[in-house]
Parts: sequence; structure tokens; C-alpha cells
Amino acid sequence: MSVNTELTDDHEHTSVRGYLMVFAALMVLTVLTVLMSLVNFGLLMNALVAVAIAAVKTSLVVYFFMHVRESPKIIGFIVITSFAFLSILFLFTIADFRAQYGDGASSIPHAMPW
Amino acid sequence: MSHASSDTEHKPYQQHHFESMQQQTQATLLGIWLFMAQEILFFGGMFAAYTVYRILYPQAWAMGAASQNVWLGMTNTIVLIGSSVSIVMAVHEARHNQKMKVLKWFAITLLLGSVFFGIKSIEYGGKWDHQMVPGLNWNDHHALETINHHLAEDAQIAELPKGIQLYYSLYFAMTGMHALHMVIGFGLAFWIMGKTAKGCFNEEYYPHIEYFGLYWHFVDVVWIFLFPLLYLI
Repeated sequence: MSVNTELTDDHEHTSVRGYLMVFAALMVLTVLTVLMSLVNFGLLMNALVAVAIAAVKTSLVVYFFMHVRESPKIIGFIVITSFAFLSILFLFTIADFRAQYGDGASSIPHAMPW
Repeated sequence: MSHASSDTEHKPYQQHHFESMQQQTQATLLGIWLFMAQEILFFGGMFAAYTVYRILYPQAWAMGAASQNVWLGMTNTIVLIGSSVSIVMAVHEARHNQKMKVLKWFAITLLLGSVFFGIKSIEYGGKWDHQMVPGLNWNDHHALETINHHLAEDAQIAELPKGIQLYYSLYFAMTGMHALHMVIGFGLAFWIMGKTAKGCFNEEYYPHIEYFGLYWHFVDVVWIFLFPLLYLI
């Protein structure tokens, strides 16, 4: 088997070398996410950094491992749309309870001990 | 069987309601991805609940995450990403009609999945032993002891933070749902390995292998988000 130095092989599919490079990148990002959690940037920033790194890892998995790279454009559109709708779920939910309760749990009537 | 309007031969695996293999493949791929979109929103609901309660109970979330074993979580992350690579290799070999190699890569994937389950059961067992399973086996005193055990000398807490049981409920719900998806994945994998061994696929027709790969990668993506959100606050 000759050594393939390209990211793609003959039919524009990602080569084994390409997959291994993605794996290496995912390992680096995993270590990075653990290291970043040890530094205190503040509650919100730490959460955003963690989610941002996870988003990068997810993009690598979706684009290369899930073959979105070699798929028809509609598939990429569906992926992006799903995450767009997910963010609507997040944004509106957060906006709603922030409007009612501010950012403190103290103003919520607590009936249960947990 | 002949088709009046087509002069090309039907492959045995082309269904009657499709005009060509290419149309069938594209339609199937679209269907699988629509299922993926549903799964994203399905897990997304739990992530939304997580987000709301994390904002409301930051101390409980911090204490909950402190009581997790980051090294076990990180090992599980590496194991799952590794299993994604092995599944991608299985699809790669299927493209070249290498039946034995496909089976080998499937076996490696399931082996790594089993390692994941092993580590998960150690974690779940530990939580049960420490009586930190809300609803089934929860003891305030033991929970407080366990959390303090993970904190530094000067960071010890005197009482359980409000919302701590919520954190653990979400921990078990989200990782449990994720583990259930992996169990389903195992079932699918065995079925596909059986079909592969019988020679049902060739280099131009291997949809089960390809779409199982998509499903397995999705399960990996969910864990990629679960790990930092539950273990690394």
C-alpha cells in the first residue's frame, strides 16, 4: 500500500491519514478542555469555553467522520438547521426564566427540599 | 423482472419505488439525517433543562461536578472517540469490500464500547455506594461527606447546596439516556455484523454499515458535550 499524503483518496473520500489527523486533533482538544477547566475565567466564561471546544470537536466529527464533507449540500443544511432550532430552544427558555426570576434562585418559590 | 420505462438493469437491492440507485441512496441518506436532527433535538431538551438549572443553582452544579472523577470521564471520552475512529475505518473497508476487515473494525468498536460501559458502571456503582442516587438511594449525610471528600481543605462546605439532587438527577438522566443509546447501538452492531458475515454487502452497497457509523458518531458527539458539562465545571 503506497503512502497517501493527501487528505483525500481517489474518489474524494477522506483517506485513512486524514481520519488519523482528525483523531489527533480530537485528542488535543480533549486534553485542552480538561486543562482549560482548571483555570478560573469566571463561571460564565468557563462554561462558554467548554461548550466552544466541544463545538469544534463536534464539527470535526460531523464534517469528517460523518461524511458530511462528501455528502450532498442538503445534508449540511439539515445539520446547521437542527442546531439553529436547538439554539432557539435554549435562547427563548433562558430569556423566559431570566425575565421571571432574574438570575437568582432565591426568588423562586421553593416547595421541595431539593 | 423488467421495468417498462427503464433499460438499465435493476440491482437486486434497489427498491421498486425508486428510479435509480442514486435516488435511493440520496433518499435514504436524507432520511437518516432527519432522524439525526430529531435526536439532536431529543438530547437538546435535556441539555436545555441542564442549562436552566445550572444558571439557577451554580453552587450545586460546581459541587456536583467536583464529586465526579474527571480521569474516568476523560478516559471514557478518549475511548468513545477511539471507537468513532474504528467505525470510520469499518466504513472505509466496506467501501473496498473487505468483509473480514469490516468485522474486525466492528469488533474493535464494540470492545471500546464495552470499556466505556465498564467505566460507567464503576461510576454508577460508586454513586450508589455513596447513596447519591436521587429518588432511589439518597442520603444527605453521605452525600455531603462524599462531596467534601473531593474538595480542598479550605473549600469544605457545611451543608448541601440547594439543587444538588437536581444535578444528580440530570447526571443520571443524561448519561443514562446516552448509555441506552449505546446499548441500542450494540444490538444494531451485532445484527449488522451478522449480515456482513453472510456477505450481504459489497463495495457499492453497504448502507447498514454507513448509517450505523452515523448513529455511532452521534452517540460520540453527545458524550463530547456531556463530559465538559457534567465533569468540568
